[in-house]
Amino acid sequence: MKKQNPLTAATLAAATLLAGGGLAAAPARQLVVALDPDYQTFDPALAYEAYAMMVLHPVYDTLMQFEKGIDELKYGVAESSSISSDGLVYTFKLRKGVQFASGNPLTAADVKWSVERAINLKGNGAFLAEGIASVAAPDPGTVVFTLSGKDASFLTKLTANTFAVIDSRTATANHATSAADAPTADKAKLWFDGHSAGSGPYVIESYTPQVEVILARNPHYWGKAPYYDTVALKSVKDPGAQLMMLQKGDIDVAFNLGAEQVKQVQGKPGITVAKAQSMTITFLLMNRDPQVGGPVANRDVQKAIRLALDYTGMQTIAGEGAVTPMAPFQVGFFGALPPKDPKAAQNLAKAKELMKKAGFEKGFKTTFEVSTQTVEGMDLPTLAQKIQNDLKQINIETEIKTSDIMVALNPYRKGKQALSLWYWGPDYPDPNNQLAFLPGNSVGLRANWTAAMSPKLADLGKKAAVEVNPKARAADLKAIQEAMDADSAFATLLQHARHYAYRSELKGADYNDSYKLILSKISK
Amino acid sequence: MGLVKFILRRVLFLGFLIIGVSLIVFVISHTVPSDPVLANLSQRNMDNVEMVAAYKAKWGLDKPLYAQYAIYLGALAKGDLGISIRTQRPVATDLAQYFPATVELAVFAIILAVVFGMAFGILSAIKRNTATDRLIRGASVLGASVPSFWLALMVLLLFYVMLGIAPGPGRLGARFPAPHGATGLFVVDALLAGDFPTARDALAHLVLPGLVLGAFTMGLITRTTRSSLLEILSMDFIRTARAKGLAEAKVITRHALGNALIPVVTVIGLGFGNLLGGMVLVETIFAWPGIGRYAYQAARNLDFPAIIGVSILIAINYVLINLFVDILYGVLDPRVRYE
Repeated sequence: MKKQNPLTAATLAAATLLAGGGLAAAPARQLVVALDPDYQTFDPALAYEAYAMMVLHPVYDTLMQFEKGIDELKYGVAESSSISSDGLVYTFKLRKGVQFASGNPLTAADVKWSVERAINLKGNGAFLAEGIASVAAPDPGTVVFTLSGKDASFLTKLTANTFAVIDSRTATANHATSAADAPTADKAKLWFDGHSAGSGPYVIESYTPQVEVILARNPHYWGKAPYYDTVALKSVKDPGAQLMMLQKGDIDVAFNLGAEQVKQVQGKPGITVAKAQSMTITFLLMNRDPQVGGPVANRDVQKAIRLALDYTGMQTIAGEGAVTPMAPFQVGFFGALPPKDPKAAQNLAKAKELMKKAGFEKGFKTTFEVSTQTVEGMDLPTLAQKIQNDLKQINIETEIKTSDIMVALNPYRKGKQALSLWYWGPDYPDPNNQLAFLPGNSVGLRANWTAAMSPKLADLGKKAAVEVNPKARAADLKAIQEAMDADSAFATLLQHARHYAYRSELKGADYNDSYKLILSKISK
Repeated sequence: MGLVKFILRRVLFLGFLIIGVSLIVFVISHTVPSDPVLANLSQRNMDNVEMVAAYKAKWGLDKPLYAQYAIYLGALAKGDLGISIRTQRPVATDLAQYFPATVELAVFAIILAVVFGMAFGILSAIKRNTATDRLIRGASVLGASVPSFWLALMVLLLFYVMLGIAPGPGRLGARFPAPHGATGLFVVDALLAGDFPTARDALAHLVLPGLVLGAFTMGLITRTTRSSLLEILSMDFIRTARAKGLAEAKVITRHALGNALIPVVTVIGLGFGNLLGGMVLVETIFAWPGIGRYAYQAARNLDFPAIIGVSILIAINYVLINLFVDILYGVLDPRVRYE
């Protein structure tokens, strides 16, 4: 008998091996999303990363939630609420008949327990509860929050996973506690990473770090059942790899595409490219302290810098869909003004006049610090080079100093950077977040912009933070943005677009900046 | 007896090595101009003095460096690698999770590298100065010099996207759930569970990243095998074997190859040790959750326990592999004595 050629045999074996992969049956209805996640834990009281909510929102209910975009605040597991006349007491009535995935009924006691645990554990998101003086559960269907001061953003804050309603009985059985000694006594974090105790449409079936999270349908869910039986969130860091997997049909959603990947797949049959407004902004910090900023600290120089920048060019670098907000208040937030016309925002002639007025017609040299970070697919050092070229037009010579973000954060926090390029993602989807940029507030102080330097603006910020009347609040925010557009230690450069793609037969794969995708609403 | 003492000495040396590695890595990671608090707290919480103080107290970062190291060493002596600041899980748990992924890929890659590297090296030596030899030498240089991340993208584009004959990134197909077994080696765990489709899928997913990672070592093995074999083939005892009328195949396999293997085994050992340290770029492109990515993220976040834990693991790998290689020398060359 003729012996088979070993090379032929090996080739056949290899082909069989390669082709044979992927033949096992998948679950009946499974949604597969590829993303580059940053989540470290699924303990709702501790999770704070941008993608954690993508997993936690379909698993845990909150009193308030977003149905679609972040400008549509709706009730979650609460069905109604009232606010006292002094704006300090919020009373919520819970929906009746809501059960956790365990079958335990969801009561006000669980809400109280969950909030107290979040406060006592002191995770990164605990600051959202700073203004809560007490939380009470006078009856199983009523929760009462008493605030220490008025907070116009309180209802929005309640959408965060910090306020996720946890099944206290199941959690306690797994060594969770809401007591004051929670930082040392609570041992449930690892349990939460691979399990869940929520009332949402899904439960966490398994979590393999850096590999995948699998969500499975919650049979006790009180609301409309989701279309998919399971959702697999696959960790695929490289956008090129995500794109290939989408093109091959191995995944349904590729969530982290850059502008270049989008171009490759635009118009291809069977794939829909989505462009949404991210809430991440990139901005220039200009130090107001002459000891640190030197000539950059001059207000006219700062105005000149804002007028010298080529916003159209920067938007091109950031990719299609990027806009330039009026001030560091993202388009899409309550009260945000429309974005700038990028062409009209640049005025070199006026910029040069201002430099002359400031006494720097011949220009000056300064260091320009930037971290080697990529923001929504855009490389910050590349943007820095663009800015460097723009500033040359008004005779400002910048020496770009790049460093890893872990190194750059130190001088940034201490207000030691003359001119630097940074980015900001909101902690929660409310314009109160952005008040941090005002003089005397945390980000303002990183530019050494004190309240004393701009007292009117500082006072306006304090007023807006506690203004619960929507009309009055909108007016305050408008005034703040106009003031900052005229005079500010910051130049808001970009609000980024988020690019992702999905198989065209999917419905409901709309972007939401808090939840990224509302997984329970996606169907075919 | 000599071999046993040799092994015991190496094991003892391992203890000192671990202390040395932990000290060096500890000092280096604490001298970078950054602050682990900034690396792990949110920007908002960085401004909160109480939060920063609580965080430092929790992780012992408020203590002097020598005290921090002493605490770490005390725990290490009990086998405790500490808690990762980033993942907040025991470092040992993290390593137990990510290292098997790297082991599985490294073993596959080294098998490919050894089988093909030696085969090509032998062929190249036999066909010295022919077109075959030149082709193999050119390919081995290419394999050793082409950037691995580029090669990874190219093989994915060619075999996965264009030809559709290989699976995509990841340890398993996107619609396969990960097997939860004892070893963390997906192929082994799936086989032990009797889940043959998953085992086959996991094995298929090893091919492309294994080829990419093995390319560099394959190139080295090819060239080392060739040069070592050529040197042996020029020796008198080979001429004697041929003069006795032995077939060339037997001359090579029975007389030449064994003697040519010692430098090759050294290269294999070093290559395997390198692979076990993880390759962050290839792991990123192939979405492979290995030790390379874990180490990279630990470094980015100044996660001291994780950084030291990974360093110790890699050091242990190298020592054990070198020990194995040294023992293999004795097998290959009976003249070697362990003293």
